[in-house]
Amino acid sequence: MKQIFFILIFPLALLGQSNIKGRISDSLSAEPLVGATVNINYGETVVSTDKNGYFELFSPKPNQILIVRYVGYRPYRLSIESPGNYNYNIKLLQVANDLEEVLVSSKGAESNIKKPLLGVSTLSIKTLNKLPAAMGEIDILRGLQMLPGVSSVGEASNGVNVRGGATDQNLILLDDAPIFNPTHMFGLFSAFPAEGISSFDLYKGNVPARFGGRAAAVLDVSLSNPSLDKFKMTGGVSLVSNRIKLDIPLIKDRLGIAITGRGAFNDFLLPLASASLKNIKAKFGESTVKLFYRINSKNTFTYSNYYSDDFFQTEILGTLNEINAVNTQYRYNTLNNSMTWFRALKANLNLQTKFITSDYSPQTILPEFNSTNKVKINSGVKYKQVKTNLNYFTNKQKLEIGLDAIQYNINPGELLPGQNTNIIYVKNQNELGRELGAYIEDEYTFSKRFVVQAGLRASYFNNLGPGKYLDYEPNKPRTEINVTDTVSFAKGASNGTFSGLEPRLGMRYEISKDKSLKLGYNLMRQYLQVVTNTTTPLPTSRWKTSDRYIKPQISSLLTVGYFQELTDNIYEYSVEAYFRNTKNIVDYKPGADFLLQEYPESQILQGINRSYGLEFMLSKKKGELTGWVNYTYARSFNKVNEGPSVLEQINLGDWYSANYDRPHSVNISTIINQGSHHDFSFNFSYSTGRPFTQPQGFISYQDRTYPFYSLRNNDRIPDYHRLDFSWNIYNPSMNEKRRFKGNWNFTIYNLYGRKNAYSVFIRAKGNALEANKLTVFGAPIISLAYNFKFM
Amino acid sequence: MDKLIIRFLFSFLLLCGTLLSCIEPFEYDKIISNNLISIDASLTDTPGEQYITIKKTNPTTIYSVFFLPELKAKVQITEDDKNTFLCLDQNNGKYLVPASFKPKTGSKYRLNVTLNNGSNYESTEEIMLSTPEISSYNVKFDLEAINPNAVTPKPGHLVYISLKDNPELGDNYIWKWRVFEKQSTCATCEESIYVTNPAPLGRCQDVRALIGTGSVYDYGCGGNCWEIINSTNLNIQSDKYSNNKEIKNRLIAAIPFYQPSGFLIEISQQNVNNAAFLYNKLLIEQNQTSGSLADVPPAALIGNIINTTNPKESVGGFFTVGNAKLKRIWVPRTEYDVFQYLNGRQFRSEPASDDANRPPLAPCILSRTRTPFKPQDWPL
Repeated sequence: MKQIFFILIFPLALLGQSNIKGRISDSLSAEPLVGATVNINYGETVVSTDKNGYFELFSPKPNQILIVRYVGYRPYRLSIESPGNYNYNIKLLQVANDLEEVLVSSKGAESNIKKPLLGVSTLSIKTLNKLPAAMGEIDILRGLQMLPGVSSVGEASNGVNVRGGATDQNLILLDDAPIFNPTHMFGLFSAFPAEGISSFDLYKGNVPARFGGRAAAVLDVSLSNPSLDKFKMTGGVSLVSNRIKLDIPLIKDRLGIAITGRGAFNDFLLPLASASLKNIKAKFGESTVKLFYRINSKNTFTYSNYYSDDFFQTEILGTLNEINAVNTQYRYNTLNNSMTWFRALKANLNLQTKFITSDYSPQTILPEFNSTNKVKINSGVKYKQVKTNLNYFTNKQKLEIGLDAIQYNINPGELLPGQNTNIIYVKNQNELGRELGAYIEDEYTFSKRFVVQAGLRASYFNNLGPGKYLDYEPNKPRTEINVTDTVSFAKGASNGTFSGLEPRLGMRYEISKDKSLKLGYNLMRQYLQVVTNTTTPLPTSRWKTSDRYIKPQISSLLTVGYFQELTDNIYEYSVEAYFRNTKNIVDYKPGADFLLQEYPESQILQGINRSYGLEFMLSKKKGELTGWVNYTYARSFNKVNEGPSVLEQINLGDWYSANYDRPHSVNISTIINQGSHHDFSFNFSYSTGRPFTQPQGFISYQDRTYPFYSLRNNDRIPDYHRLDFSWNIYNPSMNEKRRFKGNWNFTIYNLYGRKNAYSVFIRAKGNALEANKLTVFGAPIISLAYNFKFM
Repeated sequence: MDKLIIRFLFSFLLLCGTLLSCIEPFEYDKIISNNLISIDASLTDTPGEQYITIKKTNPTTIYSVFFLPELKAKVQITEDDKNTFLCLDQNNGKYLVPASFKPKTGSKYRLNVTLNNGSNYESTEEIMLSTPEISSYNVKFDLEAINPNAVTPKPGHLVYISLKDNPELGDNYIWKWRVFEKQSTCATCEESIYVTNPAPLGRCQDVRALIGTGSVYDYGCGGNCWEIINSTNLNIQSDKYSNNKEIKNRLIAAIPFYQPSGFLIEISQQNVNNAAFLYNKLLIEQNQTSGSLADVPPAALIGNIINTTNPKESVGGFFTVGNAKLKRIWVPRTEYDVFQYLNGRQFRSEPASDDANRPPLAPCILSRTRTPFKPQDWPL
């Protein structure tokens, strides 16, 4: 923010009284501002400037706050602490001349009006740092939920739902490596170290052809490159975690490394507060390392590493019924590596080659009664990828051609009895899948007004042996009684191959300098999904590749949008409408159980999803008050009807609301910038309650009364709304020259303490029934965080 | 001071931790309009009277569910497609299984019900599976149960059992229990006094002088009496991961600590087929373990009884015929030097008066929760 003003002060002492006069003018043109108000002590005395921009006032008090305002200009504030005669020459900065504060926009500095892609959202990290965060933990996923088209099933959701898609239909990448579990503590905090992130983009409309493998959206998160010239350290402490980031230049201007770490290990102190918390354990941590090496003027090498670990023990996640244990513990970790070699072949031609690995390993731990033995259930996804892309650009054209190959090696489940000889060792057969992709994409500027980005991706997936599969009687439900044979297939033999084209198209027509109309179409294929029948996937939920029974999910999305800038780019508003049709979505039979399930197709039904919505967004990008307001109308319905039997249908084969169908959402985020030393911000969020299943009747079983359910998602939990407040104080010592600067962040999450229902459920209690609601963060959560910078 | 700061900081964490999730009552007053029939027929080979109940619900909210008994139905059990047993209508929706019905392991059973309106319901064929004995048990006492400062009362005795699973895969065990405790109080009257008339139950009779006083008087039992506490939760486990091995340390019961004298727990163990297991599992997920962050959404219960003329009708209940193995365990409760009465208070006797016949003793009436008959294996 570049702000220019000149103040000339000529104090003349007068005992206990002040005579204040001056001239108010435009900072650039020096033209006088006629009618600007000059306000002393918040309204005690108010005068206006004359036709030459002059004012004069008299104040009997020794201490005064002077505020100058003029429509379209940033207000100017001044404190006068001793009486006297003052003469000011105040030059106000026109808001329209502010540098735009990037709040919500398309990737890079290009404005939403110009960019041919639709539905690409991001929040700047700077904005995210200012917005209220639960317990002081900066959270990308919660920040994204303040944008239109992004929702979740509730506070403890293990992921987000984008434009009617399920959580596992989002490809989440951190420096190109996939994140299979994006949250800590079962959805309470996102698993991204905000300290180390330079930017993130959510592709919810047009998805560039270089991305593939998921049906709904792509969240592309980038770690910041290390500083190559100066050691820097940033960090912070909150009630939940401790954070640090180190930027270490190793060879000036050529080689540097950035290391971040976050750890939350304070749970051992919980019993000090209350004995009732002694059984809760919750620890998590993550680290990133990014190394950047500028080999020469044409070649660079980047290495990124991400490690995250969670350990959790609580009763709020239920237990495993089939193994007797005193409690249930969850441990899960992710280890990702990615290497990028960038080579500039010519000034307008470059080649990038990437090697990526990801290893996600969840574990359920079951300590046994009267024993030191722990039974463990391991599972995991091992992912390897190599990709290369060639980029060519001219004034009118940006062309990208690429190839990628992925190998998935999935351990669906392994039961390790430990010392217990009475529990059987179980190992589900590993799944091996290979996915190949080739794409071409071109952004071509036909004229100043008309730009097209067209891409085509071809993908191929092969589920490979060795393994076994079941044969079922044709045209009958896939159940145990309809199994006709168990068939083995050899190493390298196929258990299902799929392929297809994925066209991607984005068009922008600029109606005028500040208005544009866009159209987008996407088709995406997904060969890997989470299979779980819980409200939100557990970190231990099973990943499953497509095979001869589980067909790939195919989603096509059509989007249109209108974008307009107003008042010298101070405001921007947009309207986007979308329609999505997804084939082969996955839903579950009543009582489905995927734990150590060798043949999950017997628990799964596939159908179609239809989602549509209308998103309105108004943002104010400049001035003392910045922020946005958005409203979304969105619907998402499923239909599952695999055959005539009730075992092959959900809701009798009719349409029903998806778990995350929330028709109305309103989000408001505002930041009130109060100079360089502090700001305030508010978030308000409202959405229709998500669907739940109400009983259709009651039954009596073994002398007790139980609710009886039939049709899914036929009622809704109460609407959700929440207001958060945050106050950031920057560098309270006011010493701008010091290399070490501290900031404080005070946040109240859920300011008015609404007990939003996460779920509503009806339980048998003795011979009666009771309805309950589960709330998460059901009271104001006050937190204080301290952040520091050493630059 | 440091300790104070730590306590303050972690009170915050406590606040956060406890607020992370919180279950509280929710007003849900929608009228549930379907009239469902429930045929509840869980039969075993345990000696004693057994009933099949047939009920129907009326449109109501969850807070006032009531069932109307289905009268004059014809209820019949068929054994191995040849022997039939006609159950006797008790005129209250209950049908008494004849004493001649003595199920045998390996035999096949089928239930047939014809309602008074002509609707016919039939179960699938159920084979009575053999059930192994409970091989051992373990009783653990949780001192938190007698902690006077505990925020929420905890059960005192946790009863674990072990068994040797049958050789074949596919056994599913279901447990029920009931606890007998000696009862010395057979009637309690609030702002009233107990009178023995009308016999045999007697009643609490209002006394003008006591109204508004908040008085509570207890009346001793006129003979031996045992309180029966029945299990309220469903409990099942399959041999999926322990086939032909020992299923060890299954938590069967968590017994509330109401009073310091010993109790007898009777555990019934039964082997059921996979369909019954899934039915119970779904009920557990929907009614007992719900309320977690990752619930399984409710789904339709599909039992083994269908309307033969309208197979799409939803029918509640399940027909099982099981080989039940009982285990009775005496827990003396002698190791804990505590003195606490039912509902956490001492016996409050009606004050003495000129009437030598007062206070009277109250009878111990046989019911599902009380018996005057000494339980089998009661040691004293």
